[in-house]
Amino acid sequence: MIELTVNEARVQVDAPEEMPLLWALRDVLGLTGTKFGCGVAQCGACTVHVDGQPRRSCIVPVGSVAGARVTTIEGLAAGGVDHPVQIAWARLNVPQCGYCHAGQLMSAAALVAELAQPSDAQIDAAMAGHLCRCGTYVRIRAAVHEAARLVRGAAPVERKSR
Amino acid sequence: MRPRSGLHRRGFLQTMACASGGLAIAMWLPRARAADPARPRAPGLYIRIDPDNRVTLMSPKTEMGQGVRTSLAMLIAEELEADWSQVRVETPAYDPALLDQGTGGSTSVWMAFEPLRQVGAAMRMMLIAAAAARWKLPVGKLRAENGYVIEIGSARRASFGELAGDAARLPVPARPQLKPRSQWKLLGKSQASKDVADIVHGRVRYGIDQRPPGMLFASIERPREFGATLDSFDAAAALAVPGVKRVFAIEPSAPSTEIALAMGQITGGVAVVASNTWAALEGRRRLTVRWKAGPHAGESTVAYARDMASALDRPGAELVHRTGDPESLLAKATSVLRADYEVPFLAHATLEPMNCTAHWDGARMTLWSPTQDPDTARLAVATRLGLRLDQVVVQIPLLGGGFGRRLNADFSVEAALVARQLTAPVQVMWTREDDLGHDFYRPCARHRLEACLDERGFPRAVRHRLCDPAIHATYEGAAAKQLGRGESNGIANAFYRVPHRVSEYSLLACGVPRGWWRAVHTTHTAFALESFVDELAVTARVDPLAYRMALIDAPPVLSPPSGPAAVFAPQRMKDCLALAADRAGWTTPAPAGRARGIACSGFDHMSYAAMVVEASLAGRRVIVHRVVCAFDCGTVINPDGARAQVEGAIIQGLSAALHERITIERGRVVETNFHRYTLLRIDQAPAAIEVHFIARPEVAVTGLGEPALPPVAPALGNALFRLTGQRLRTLPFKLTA
Repeated sequence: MIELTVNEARVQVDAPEEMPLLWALRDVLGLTGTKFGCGVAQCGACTVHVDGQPRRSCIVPVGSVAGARVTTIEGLAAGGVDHPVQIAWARLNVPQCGYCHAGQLMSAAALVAELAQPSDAQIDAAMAGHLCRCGTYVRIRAAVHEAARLVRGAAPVERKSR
Repeated sequence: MRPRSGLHRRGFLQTMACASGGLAIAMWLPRARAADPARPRAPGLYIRIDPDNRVTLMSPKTEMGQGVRTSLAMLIAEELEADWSQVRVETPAYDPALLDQGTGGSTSVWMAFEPLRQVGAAMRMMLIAAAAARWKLPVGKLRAENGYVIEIGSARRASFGELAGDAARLPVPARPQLKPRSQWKLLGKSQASKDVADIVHGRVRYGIDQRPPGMLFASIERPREFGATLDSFDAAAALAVPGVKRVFAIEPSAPSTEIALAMGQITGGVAVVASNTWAALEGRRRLTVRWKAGPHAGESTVAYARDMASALDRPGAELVHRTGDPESLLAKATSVLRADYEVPFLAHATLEPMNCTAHWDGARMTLWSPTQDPDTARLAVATRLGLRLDQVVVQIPLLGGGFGRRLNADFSVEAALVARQLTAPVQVMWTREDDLGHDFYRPCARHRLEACLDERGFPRAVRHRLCDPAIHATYEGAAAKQLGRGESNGIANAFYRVPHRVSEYSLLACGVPRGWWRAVHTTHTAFALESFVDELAVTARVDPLAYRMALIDAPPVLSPPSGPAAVFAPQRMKDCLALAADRAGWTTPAPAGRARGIACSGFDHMSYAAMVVEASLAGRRVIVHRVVCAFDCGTVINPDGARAQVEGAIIQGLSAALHERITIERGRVVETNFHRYTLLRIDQAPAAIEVHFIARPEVAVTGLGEPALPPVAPALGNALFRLTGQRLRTLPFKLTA
């Protein structure tokens, strides 16, 4: 039995130690918000936070995170308050099919916690591990800038009329 | 998009009371196809109004990120005068009485534009009539707005929910009156996606997230080699893995040109059923399986390339089109420009891999299939399993990407076959290796174009030859007629005026299964054509924009057009070109170190698109700075959503231009995962994608999802020529030093 904290709740996972955290979350704990895309840490869809750091859960054995604090997309809106990346993503209509965005949001959240005003190049470097087949990259960049503004407490950018 | 049978004719509207006491309105569209014994008596349901005034709209097309759950609901809501902010949207299970739920070919809004507005308008008129009866007023004194019927000039109002019961007893207007566009409040204005809140909170349940109670998890060990079959297997080690329940063989599909079987063709293999995904994958890894090589064991990309090249040295087996006498003119010409263009197989690589969940309860097979074509999924499952159509129910979760892959019924058939062996529901999940190795790929292709020019430098005669493994041969067999007409779409019927022209086709025999990849044939025909036109312009020393403008004209018509919207309008393409060029600053110098290339889409899904790509180089690395696209699909329903579709098509086009390639060795796919099958990432996305729509309210709404993809590669290639002097004729682009 492996004990850890997921989205602020202590849980016990009855699974082999080598089961990737991704499958422990999805199948054992029933948290299907974290997605499977490749299984080899090439697409980023499985990204969660482990002790505040983004990790590709498809290659993290659940045994290796015993005692750790894990945050998934379901826990990003802590205390029911939307995270700035969630606000920005919705405001800019970033997702299309949406499948990659749980992972994208987790990486973006870690980025804006670390950098107050990331440049395009810093955004690209931080987010390059994520594949989006629908091609929402340009909006992702804009939404990370918007989220960083929200974190800084700056006023949201006036959206150009469409 | 594969051709669908039947035109849709005028339908009938009916209402029915809901169990909740609310009102439902349905529309029945007679289908021009063979009688469907499973067609229910009740019409297809589109609107549900609950007594508490909650309005739920059914979006009959399947959602794969193209935003149809939002745009189709907008069509109903506009006419209904629902409170859009409160409207909820559902994707209904497959129902043959609904508007065709097959989703693809950029046809959703085009197909739904009239019928769904009629449904909304009819309901609105009935609610107004109900209020008029209740208040004893003429209907002219009332209007509907935001979920209420209001007496004009008074505070008196009643909610749709209050009126629904009365409205249900009224006759349905036969010819609902649609609003003039000048009164549109929703349509033509950007609306937020109805799904974005669920997406950003991780609440969406895609196919892979379905969890009917008691569900088991299955993974199928498939032959990597196309056409190989199961010889024997040993399950002992697999069954020893904790959580593994059952291991059994799944038979591959027998070759068939019966469409239901062909669309549901599967590789077969060994299914491992377990209590969770990891156990199923671990069990599968511990199988010992022997495969028998099939007829495609020796095939390879190298051999295909050689065969396509040599096929082009001979006249094509199929004449697709001829005008005049190009052969004589080319033979006599003092100078002939000749170029071959090659593209590889492409994988769809939807980020959610193929999967389907199924449950056989002894009498009924329920599928939770993230499918683009639930009708074909139902038919394929029923046919393969020997069930009646009414025994198969298809629920449709949201799709994590489609791009044409999920038109096929293979993943649905597999899940049904596994479920048939069990009593519990089961989800068959494909690994990424399964997904990349067993796609229905965009075909590889090789085009040869030869031209001689007149004294002004314009083409006088052009011979085009194409050799590729035609998509339809995967389903209709190699003997199918007129394969070349489909494969040559966009080039045999190119809209550039050439007095003497011929287009020929030869089929490449090939064991790799093919299918429909976003924009389909024009993904390669536009690459060849728009690159070649640029090469001719360079030879003629004419600006590529001016060259195209001088040549755009009525194209040869290979098949009778389905309607006025299917007739190419040269001025619309010229207007797109002019707008894209203007916004890109075509006549001004590019910034230092950058160059621009221009290209048109083919006449793609009845829409028009033109594009300018601005790029530079850092060593051999291509940097795309800016893509400017002008797009004409008649009417845009949701501008922000439409813009997103064009942005996405451009990114996907860039990904194919710079990265993507499936190669075959020893009859199997080499690229096993995303470290080998590379896709464009955010660090190569342009700094700016600018989309400009041309609005034409007087013409039909036409396709949006696909036409912006094909021009990307040739526009970029044309820019790279200006940067380097290298003409790149093979995708993905690789610059030599």
